Amino acid sequence: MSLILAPVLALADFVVPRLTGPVVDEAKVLSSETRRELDFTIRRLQEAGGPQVNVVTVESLGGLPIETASIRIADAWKLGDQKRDDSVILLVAMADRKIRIEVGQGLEGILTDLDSRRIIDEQMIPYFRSGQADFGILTGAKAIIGKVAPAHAKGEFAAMPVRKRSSSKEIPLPLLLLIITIFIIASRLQKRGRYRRFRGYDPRRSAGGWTSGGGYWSGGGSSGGGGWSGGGGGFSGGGASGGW
Amino acid sequence: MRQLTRQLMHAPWLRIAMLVGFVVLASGCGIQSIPMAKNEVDASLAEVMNQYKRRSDLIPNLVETVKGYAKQENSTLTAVTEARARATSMNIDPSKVSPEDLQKFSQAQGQLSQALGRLLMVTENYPDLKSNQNFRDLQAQLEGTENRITVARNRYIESIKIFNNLVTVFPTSLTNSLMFKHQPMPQFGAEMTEEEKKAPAVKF
Repeated sequence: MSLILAPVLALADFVVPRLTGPVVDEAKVLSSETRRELDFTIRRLQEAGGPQVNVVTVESLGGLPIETASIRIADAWKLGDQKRDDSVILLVAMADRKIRIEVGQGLEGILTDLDSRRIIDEQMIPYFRSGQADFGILTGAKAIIGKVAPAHAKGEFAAMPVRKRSSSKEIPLPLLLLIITIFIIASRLQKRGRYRRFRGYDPRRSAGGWTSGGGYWSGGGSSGGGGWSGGGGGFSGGGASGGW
Repeated sequence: MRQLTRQLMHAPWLRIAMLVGFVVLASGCGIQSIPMAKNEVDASLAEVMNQYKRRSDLIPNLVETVKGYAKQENSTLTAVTEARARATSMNIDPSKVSPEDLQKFSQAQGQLSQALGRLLMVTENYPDLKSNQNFRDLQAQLEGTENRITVARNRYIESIKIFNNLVTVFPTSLTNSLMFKHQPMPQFGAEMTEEEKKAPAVKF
């Protein structure tokens, strides 16, 4: 009896997340800034005729090996074009401390197991070890995107530098001085032109141009709102895994 | 008189034919789905073999690299080479392979998995080898291939299950017994021991 039940119970523990967009952050490790940047870049990549890349973070794998969980996600989402089988899934499991890059069949020649392994080992794990999962995922995803971008758009995606972030929140002194200077100058200018500027202000027009940063995709509740869905692409287990 | 016998002989047949025709039309009859499932089984077996071949292709390179650092592990290395030779000597046509041949094939590959697992365990004792870039690259490729084998095997098992369901469960089983006469297929991997099922631990 337990023999029959065991696999069923194991299945019940890991639930394939819902495909809500290019970035599915179930574990909530990504900053909204990273999420927006990745969302934008990945959509841009697909618009340029590139493959479908998806970033997925989960808290736990429910006791499954990451390879099993990731092929299950791949089979459920069927990312990529049905004929080209071009898609990549970057899966990060926070509690299990595991990373996997699952490569669609059509991309196995471009993003080899070896490439995937190197991206994980060299570009991601160092950040994860120092507690910067957010940045590690950003770096890893960008490395993948740079690798799989179509030839004609290679420059656009490969050239995208990863911003170096200082770990401290303090603003460097020269920048601080610059900001103060600008502030002082601005306030003087403002004093001079206050009346003229006030009359020219139209609240309706300005309201139209104002978008809240959070409203872009991070809601995640509206599934397929941005037209993000799989196209029937196939996976055969290519890629690499690693842990930190 | 002759006409009467003909009528008598034909009438029940006609009725049965109509009944069969009705069943065939009324339900997902299997006329399409059984051959399709059979093709799926053949295709997924071909994929399993393809991935095993991919693994065999990596092995000579791996053996050479390990040899450069760990000459004294000769017996382990020879075991891998011999297991590979045995596994690759079997030529199997996925569409008309007998269950016995398939079992032999699976066993030969299982033995190769074990030999490989032992080799990789031994390499743990050679730090120079482990830090060798070429070896690490081969290991990454081998790891990827082992995973592909697992995926391909699981899909093969799944396709057999679908095929067997069509062949044995009504109403498609009726179509099968009338038209195709396929036997249910033995499930793949059932003959393997637990130890053989485990992929070699290719871990750092």
